[in-house]
Amino acid sequence: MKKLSENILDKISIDYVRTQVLKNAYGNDDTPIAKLDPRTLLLWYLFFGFFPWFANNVVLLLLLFMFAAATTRLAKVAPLVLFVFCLGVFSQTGYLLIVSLFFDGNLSTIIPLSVLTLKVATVSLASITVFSGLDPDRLCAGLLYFGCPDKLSFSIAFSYRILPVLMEQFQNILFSYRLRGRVPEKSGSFWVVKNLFYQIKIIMLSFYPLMLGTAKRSRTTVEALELKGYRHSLSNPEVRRIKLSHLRFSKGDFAFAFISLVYTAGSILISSYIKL
Amino acid sequence: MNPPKAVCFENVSAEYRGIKDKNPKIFDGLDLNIHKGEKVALIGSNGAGKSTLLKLICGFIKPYGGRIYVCGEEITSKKPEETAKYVSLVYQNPEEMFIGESVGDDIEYAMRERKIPDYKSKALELIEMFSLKGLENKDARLLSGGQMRRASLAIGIALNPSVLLLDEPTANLDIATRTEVIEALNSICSKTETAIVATHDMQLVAEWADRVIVLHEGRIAADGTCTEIFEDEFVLEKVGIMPPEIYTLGKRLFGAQTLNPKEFADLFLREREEVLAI
Repeated sequence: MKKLSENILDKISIDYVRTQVLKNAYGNDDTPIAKLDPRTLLLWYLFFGFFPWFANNVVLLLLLFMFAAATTRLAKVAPLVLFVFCLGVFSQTGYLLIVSLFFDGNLSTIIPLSVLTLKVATVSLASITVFSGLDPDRLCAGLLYFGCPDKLSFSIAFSYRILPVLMEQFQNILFSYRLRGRVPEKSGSFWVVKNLFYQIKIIMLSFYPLMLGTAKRSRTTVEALELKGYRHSLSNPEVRRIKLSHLRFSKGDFAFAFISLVYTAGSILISSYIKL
Repeated sequence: MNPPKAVCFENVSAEYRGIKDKNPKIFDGLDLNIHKGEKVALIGSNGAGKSTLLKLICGFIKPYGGRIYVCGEEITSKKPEETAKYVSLVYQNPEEMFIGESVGDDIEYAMRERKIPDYKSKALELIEMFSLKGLENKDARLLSGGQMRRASLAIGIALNPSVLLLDEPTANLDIATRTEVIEALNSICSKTETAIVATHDMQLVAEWADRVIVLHEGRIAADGTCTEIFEDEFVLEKVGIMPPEIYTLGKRLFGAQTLNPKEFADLFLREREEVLAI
């Protein structure tokens, strides 16, 4: 029992979350999805991120969901991301089902709800696949290629990169509170509640030094970028060309696009024959 | 007879979370004893396990095997709040220690929280000791590198810990500030029984430590005094350590072991007098 509770506590620790974020950003570079060109992935996402919203056939949505799930498996997504995905999708539709039962509904609500669930799940899995397969630099290059403003693509990539750093800093500040603070005495019937309040309090307090630290860090980053001539590079087409010169479509990209196309066409065909 | 143990590792195994499938091991069956009163320097290349060892001592990381004792009490599965009565950690980045609104507030924080009597006067004493007078009402994040480091040392010893852990206390400091920090480190020995420093700074090791532990790939590659380590060419080459320049210079010029500029200057003057006498 103690081992189980330790295991659960470990899974909600900041260190675990930080590792999972790092794993998602940098730990999946050897997967078949990560080997694809970022432009292929973004184009693929453009389809799988929008098309499910306009489809209402359960069979078609189910087939698309299966395909998105297969690509997510190939992308070796971090377990925490999958957990958050499941929590989000099933809590959303689960509460709608419960609410419908309260208002005199019955289990037939499951069919319309499953349409919504499959839409949300397919789009979410496609997002997870694409953003797990792209590290910050590749994501930035892909967005830049499709005309996304340089500042925006850089901001997205930078945020992705800085997140684990901030988490580590937050963890250290929290440790500072823990080493120097005073936990409530382990006595009395309200100890658990007092301890919970103490933990919440130090978590909240840790954000204040973190924000000040981040402000200082951001200034250093901006100064470093300015020194490297970042602002000038934004308006220079030659810089853009050099930045994107490494992008290449490979056989794998064509194969992935072809399989996606054939599968989607096949799914549309099958769904037109089978009705649920 | 050895003095009582301040820190004791018995067959400790630890790993860190990897971003690939497997968690890399840092220590596999590590045994280590640090006695009360020792000033220990942990050295080794990046990833050797220096910072992890410090985090194990203060309970930030839990080992998956073995036992850890601090001041005779087993702390293997204890929380940092519980180890804090014996141990204090001064971070590599002092900014992460500043949780108060001012330097004075930060130094007082731990004593105030633990309701230590006369904490105000004790904080003032520390402010004097670390030459922070006049800065006590300033936000610690706005101080210079050396001032921040001194403030972090004052915060670290505020509770008079039995074991003080310091992670890279002289990293990113200029020579003058580094000298200031080394002086401060020497002066805090009256406030703490045992101090352990993880560092790459060999000048700090030479000037401050009386025991040096060399970590390499999660194992203790060597354990001895500064001169023993600096003379062990096999270890130096294996771990990639370079003795401080003053040591190498002293050895090349006079064939003697000089650990700090003062020793070198004394030797130089003595040699000069001998040459002049001839």
